[in-house]
Amino acid sequence: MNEKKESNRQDQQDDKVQIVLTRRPIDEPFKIFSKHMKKRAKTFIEYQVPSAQDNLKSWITSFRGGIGLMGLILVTFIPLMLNDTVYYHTFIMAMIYSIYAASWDLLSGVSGQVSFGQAAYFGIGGYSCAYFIIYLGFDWFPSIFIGGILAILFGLLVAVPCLRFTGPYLALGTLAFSLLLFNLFHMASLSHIFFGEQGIPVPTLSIFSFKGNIITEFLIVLIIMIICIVVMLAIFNSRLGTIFKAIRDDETSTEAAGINTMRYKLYAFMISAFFAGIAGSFYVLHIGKADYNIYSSLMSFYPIIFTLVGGIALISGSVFGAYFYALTNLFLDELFDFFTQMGFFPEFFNNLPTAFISLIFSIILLILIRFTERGIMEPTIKHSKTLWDLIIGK
Amino acid sequence: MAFVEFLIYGTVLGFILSLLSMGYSLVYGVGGITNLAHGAFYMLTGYVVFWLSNPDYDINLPYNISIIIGLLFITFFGAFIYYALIKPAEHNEILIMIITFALAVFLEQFVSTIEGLQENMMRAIYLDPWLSGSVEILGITFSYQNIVVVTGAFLVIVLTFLFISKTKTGKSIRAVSQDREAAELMGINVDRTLVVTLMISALLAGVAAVLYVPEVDILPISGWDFLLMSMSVVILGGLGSVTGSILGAFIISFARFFTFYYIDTPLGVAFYGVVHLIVIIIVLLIRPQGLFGKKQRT
Repeated sequence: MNEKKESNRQDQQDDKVQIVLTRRPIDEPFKIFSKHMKKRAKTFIEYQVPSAQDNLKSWITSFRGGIGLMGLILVTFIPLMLNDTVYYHTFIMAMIYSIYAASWDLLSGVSGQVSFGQAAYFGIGGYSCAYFIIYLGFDWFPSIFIGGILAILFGLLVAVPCLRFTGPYLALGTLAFSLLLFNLFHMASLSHIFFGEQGIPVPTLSIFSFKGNIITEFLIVLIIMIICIVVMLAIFNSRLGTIFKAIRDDETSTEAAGINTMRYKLYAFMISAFFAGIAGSFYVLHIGKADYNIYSSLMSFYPIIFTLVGGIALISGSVFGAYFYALTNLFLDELFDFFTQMGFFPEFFNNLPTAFISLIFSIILLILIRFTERGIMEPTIKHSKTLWDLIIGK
Repeated sequence: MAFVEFLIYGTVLGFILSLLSMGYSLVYGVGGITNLAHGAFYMLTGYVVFWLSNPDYDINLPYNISIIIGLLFITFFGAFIYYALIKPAEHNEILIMIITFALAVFLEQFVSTIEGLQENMMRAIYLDPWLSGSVEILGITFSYQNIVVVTGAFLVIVLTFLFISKTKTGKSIRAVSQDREAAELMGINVDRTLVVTLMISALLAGVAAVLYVPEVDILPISGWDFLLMSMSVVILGGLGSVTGSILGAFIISFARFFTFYYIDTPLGVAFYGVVHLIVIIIVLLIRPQGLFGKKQRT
């Protein structure tokens, strides 16, 4: 009897499996800890959670990382090399739009709260930044953050009523808020509060402290864009991002798992509004004016389009879509200029400019939305990878 | 005097909004389609009739013929949009909203471009009223166009009701709106029913345009205003309820003109354009299913 008991206990001990998670670098062994653990367990699995450096290294050496890095280098150095104001303008707008589109993606693609009124936070950020610079005499750098913070407050204001529903009602509620702002800031009779028709004019380049030329602005926006996108990617890959994705995929199960979905949905709105506000501040500083058009439905629509073109629920997709738009716009502009110079088009085509380009772009977008399922960035990357593998002979 | 104007304009817009929102609510109730291009349909019909009939453009058809062609055009355009854009995105409500939004933006740009080709500036276009002149009853001046609008809209609403309740297609529409799968099992061609519903919706928007544009000039961006007004009417009345739409239409229309005429003038003139947006927000806060909302589409 006693022997049996002994052997039973021995069996139980033998069957223990201990899994240890550690943050130590992969080649440094445990000394004290493992000896104690090994006494109590028979099977001992040591799993090293990769550190940040390991993550970065593996990302860079992978194909996607290579493309990403190459894209970053191109985006930084092409305008610097071409050194023409037009290219600086295009790339600055692309960067502003990419922060804006990524903020929408974080809210709608990653967290599933589809918002048709992103322009509300974009515009509030812009107007606040302009207000603080012009009327309160702040410097540009704090004003941008103040724009982001006031946008957060407005994001909460919109989120609290709209989050009572899901799906179309939520989208319509956000759309209603942004158009309400559009009308409020447009009305001449409320100009004493809301600035009316002419908005707030802002001195553009001279506002960035040193020298104040467009290269400075380009570099500043570039750095801020990289920081914002990296932060958003970090959120995407973190536990917070996983909760957002869980809420998007199956809200009931997430609630059942004990997560307070309402709180996290509010977080999603707040973070998204913050980045949209930052983008809005830069937009106003670049355009030189904060006017009511910033709240238009077209402006709400841009991030949706950019993200859909690039690939929804990936932050990088929205960046791709924003650049796609800016570069296509530039390309079409140059194409039309070229053709007009060559005399291919009759005289009255000179008056077309922006409407016609917007028209062509909306056709392109309708076709892209209709025929691509998840945007064009992913298939492009996959096909490039296949091509690359072919080239290097795998 | 303001009271009379308030009544007249309120009634006219009320009928127009009931036409528009009936179409919008039908499409949503039957197919779950949130057609954000509904306002663009309105705007497009107005412009098409203008282009066909106005002597500045070289087509220059008689006014009545251009109206008929315009209405036919928008009806078949609705069918085309269903097969080209909406059907591939079936069951994905958010994607349909995005696609119809894209379509609305495209139509607005398209109309702006063509207008921009003709003249270098954007101007509001106008249509001649059917019958010009006015009549005086009891000292109040009604323009003939007002009477035309009210009568025309009333007729169309009655016709639509009759269509939905009496004809076979109308019954399929009601069946599909109640339970899509059961209707399919009963042998109703749901696809065809959806197309017909969208065509009716487009036709209603077209009729609204033909009736109202002679009264109020339109610009390419007017489509958005009417889209939001239809949306607010439908949300107020309850998605899926036609009676609710009509009642909501008159409430919103009178609220709009009430704000215009009777609230403290600077604020009133300011706010009359946003009344329907505030209504949307209030309804969504207090009673999301609207006044007569019968079902929540899940």
